Amino acid sequence: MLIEDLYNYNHKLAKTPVVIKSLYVLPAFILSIISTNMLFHIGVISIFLIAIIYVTQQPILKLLKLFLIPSAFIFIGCLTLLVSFNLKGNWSNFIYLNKETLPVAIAIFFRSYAIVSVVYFWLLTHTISEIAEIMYTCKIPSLFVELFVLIYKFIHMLMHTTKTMLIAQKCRMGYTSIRKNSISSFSNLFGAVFKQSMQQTSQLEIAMDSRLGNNEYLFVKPKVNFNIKTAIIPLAINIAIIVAFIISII
Amino acid sequence: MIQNIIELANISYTYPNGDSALNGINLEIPIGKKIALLGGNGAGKSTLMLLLNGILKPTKGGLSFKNVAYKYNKKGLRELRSKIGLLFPEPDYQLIAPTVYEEISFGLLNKFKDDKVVRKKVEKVVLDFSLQEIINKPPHQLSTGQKKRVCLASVLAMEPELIVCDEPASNLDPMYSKLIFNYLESLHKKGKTILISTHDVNRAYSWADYVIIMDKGEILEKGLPEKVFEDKELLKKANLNQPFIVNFFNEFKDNSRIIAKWKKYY
Repeated sequence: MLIEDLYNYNHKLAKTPVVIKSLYVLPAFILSIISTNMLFHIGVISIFLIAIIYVTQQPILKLLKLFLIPSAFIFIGCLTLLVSFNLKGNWSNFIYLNKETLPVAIAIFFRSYAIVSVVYFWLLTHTISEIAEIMYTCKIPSLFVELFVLIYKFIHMLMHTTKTMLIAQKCRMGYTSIRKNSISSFSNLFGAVFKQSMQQTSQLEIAMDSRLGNNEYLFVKPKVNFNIKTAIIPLAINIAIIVAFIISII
Repeated sequence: MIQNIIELANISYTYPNGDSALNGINLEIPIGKKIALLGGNGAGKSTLMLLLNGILKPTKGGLSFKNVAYKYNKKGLRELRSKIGLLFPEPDYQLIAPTVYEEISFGLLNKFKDDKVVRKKVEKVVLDFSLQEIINKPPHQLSTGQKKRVCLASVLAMEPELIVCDEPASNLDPMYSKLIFNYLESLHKKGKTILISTHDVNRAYSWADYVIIMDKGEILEKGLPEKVFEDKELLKKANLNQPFIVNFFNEFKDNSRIIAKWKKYY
């Protein structure tokens, strides 16, 4: 499941300025990293899951599928903290669960999910150009921002090309056996996709030149009117999160 | 008064790998007409279109826009490309921006440099092409027909005097194909010169005011469609068929003779 498959272009914050949208995310993100309180993290997870469902209007099952990829990393990370090896003792308890690291593992587990839910909210409510705009605001050099936008575009083009070529190879008996042709099929696919990407880049450059492009990726975004009323809800949510954080410390 | 928007004098082009694409072409593109450039695969149509936009520089000969010779310096090319819009056959290679709105703004911002002017023009084009529903979508998520519409919108937003479309209806279903030609028709009514390349002889016959037939980097024939499409041998040489309607009437003419013959016996 890709984030793009779930992205609803008419979500409830589509017409909200980027600055206000960032208001929802930034304090919760920073406080989730700082906090060690499990209840605070559970609170952040619940708030942002509900917020994602409400804003994007996507079914909960689809959203939960999104959490599968980070879940694999989080589980492996926590497992390495929990499992210990006893090299000196008896072979029967060579591998055992370490009770000392259990609180750390639990804290990391909930903190990771809190951060993941905040990041998903951010990704599901911002278009790629809004993310690029935030990067520009953060004074990230334009070269990196343009690279970011171009890589995003090329990933899609290459994924599409790879899928099509893979089908074409399978139709012509490619990948039938590991020993005979799978490796050569894969190397052919890899080479073809690489050549294709080179060709696509030069074609793209021609297309940009024909529209007076000067090797600069400059665009104009739709104008969004800033209204102080739209900042009230994110401010209220943020105050609630900050208060919860202070209580969790005390 | 200027009769031709572009004139090509003895143009030849050879690709860096040594493949000769065009051989000594002499051509005049009449102003305010709907022109169809026809030819089989590898006839040199796409190369000719890239030459018109100044993307390629001819290895021999010269081009002129409204009697002014092409200048291949930065300023000259900028001026030229703002007057000649080029639509590519493959929309995926043309779409570069993260959203449709920004895609349309790309060429406009390069031309006008003023955000306010650009926004105003983008909004007009979005309405003209009925793109309101998809302005925030990334172009790669659109259907081929929508992508083609966005490409055409982004080219036309720049208000070029000559619109060059390389196979505007390729990969499109009949509905989208009709839609694109309707846009081109409305532009022609506004006084724009339109040049398209196509293999579709039927479309060219019904749509174009002027046709050019190419083969192996040379111009075989140019003129009015009624005259050019009569020559079956010429079309065969260019790997093209006769338009259905012309063929039908020719057959019908022959048949009427046959029917007249039969009438003698019966």
